[in-house]
Amino acid sequence: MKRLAVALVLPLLLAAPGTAAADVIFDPADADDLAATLAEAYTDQGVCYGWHVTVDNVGSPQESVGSNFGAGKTVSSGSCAKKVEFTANITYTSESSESEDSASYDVSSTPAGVGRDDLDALDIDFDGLTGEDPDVAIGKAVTALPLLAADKGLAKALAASPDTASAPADAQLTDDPGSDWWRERGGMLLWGVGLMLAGGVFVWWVLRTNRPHRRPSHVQPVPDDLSSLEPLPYEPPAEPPVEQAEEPPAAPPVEPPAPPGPPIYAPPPPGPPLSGPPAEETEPGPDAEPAPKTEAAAKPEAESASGSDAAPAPEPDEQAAGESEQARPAPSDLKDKE
Amino acid sequence: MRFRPKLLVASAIGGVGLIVLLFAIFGGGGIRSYLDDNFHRQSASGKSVVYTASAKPKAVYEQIRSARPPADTQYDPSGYFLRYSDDIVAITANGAGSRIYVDDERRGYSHWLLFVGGVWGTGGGSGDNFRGGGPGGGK
Repeated sequence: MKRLAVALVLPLLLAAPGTAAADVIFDPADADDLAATLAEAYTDQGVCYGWHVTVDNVGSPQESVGSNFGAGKTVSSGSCAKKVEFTANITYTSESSESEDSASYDVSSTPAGVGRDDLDALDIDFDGLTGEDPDVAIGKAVTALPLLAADKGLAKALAASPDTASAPADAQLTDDPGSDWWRERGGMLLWGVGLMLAGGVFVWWVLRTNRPHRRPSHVQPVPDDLSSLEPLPYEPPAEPPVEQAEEPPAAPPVEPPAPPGPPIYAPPPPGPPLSGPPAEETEPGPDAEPAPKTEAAAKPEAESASGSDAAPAPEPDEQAAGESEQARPAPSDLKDKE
Repeated sequence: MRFRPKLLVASAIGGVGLIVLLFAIFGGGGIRSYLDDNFHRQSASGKSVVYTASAKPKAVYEQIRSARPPADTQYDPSGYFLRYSDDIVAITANGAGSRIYVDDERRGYSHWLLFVGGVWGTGGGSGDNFRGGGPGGGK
């Protein structure tokens, strides 16, 4: 008789959700509600559902267990041909530890079919497992197990229907869900503004750093009358003045040598040179030649150097003047004639 | 890189940004227009509209969520519930396919109070109103 009573009562105790024991994740009432929800799904679908969360709370191991058989009871408490269980491991480290809190989660099912990827597709915020309210993410995941089982064909799908009865007077929405427009397009808006700003800054930088350089001005022919020259405004040379002195513009070889006259004079810049030798060295002196001497130009100088007067060849006008002077009688000659 | 290619690259970046900005401002629409465009309207009563889809509820939920992200989502063994700024959408099974309900927030909260009551507002219900327990050891 006693064995018969036990045989009758035991299945009822296993099937009915039990009261919540001390739970590290859920409040007792929440754990009981969750177990009741799973029990309803078990009744309709014939699949056992449960959760098993282990928590390492700064070295102190704790766990939260529940199933359609009740809070505090594992999904293996009864004999289930099909079962789906959510498992998670959460590690809380001490405040003084350099290690961060960590968590992992998974879904196991018998027969195989429901996995972690199916749970991830629901976009539940599992970062909250290491936050202040891990029960929110775990509760959503466990509640969604019957949906995943139906989607995988392990069980028939359950259909909710709207309640057409009038809601209680105190039933009102409280939380502000925020703007749909900003939630949907806020990221795109920020990206667009960011790209436009980046493009504008890029354009500004390109225009600032890539201005075309001015070419160095060529040496202009120097007029004969240097006194008429006006000092040029100072421009920093694009190249060091030494290079300009070392590489003067070569005279075309086909041109005849320039007649002796005033030396070509390039007026020095009004300010001192920024670098290189002093201005006196680059400035052509009275005896310096502005251009390398060609053979044709050097020859008359050599001849004049060998001569007594070392004077340049007389100009035609000067020759005529010399002839007129030769034709004029000298004063001594006039005295002799007298 | 020379002057002109640099200028072209900079202009291209700014142009792409302008296109993205214009699309963000003028493109797309709300959840109701998206449901109208992508699902078959079955019935309507005022601002409560019912659509049907041939895909399973999970696939429909993922499609809607990725196209029009909701402010919050609640799950129940019998359906998915999405909350928007002015509307509440419920996705349930309908044979091999799905049925999609969209209501304004007041009527939607009343229709689905059993599933979202106590989570999105007051009035109770058996929704998963988890109270934020746990060890609280997160840092």
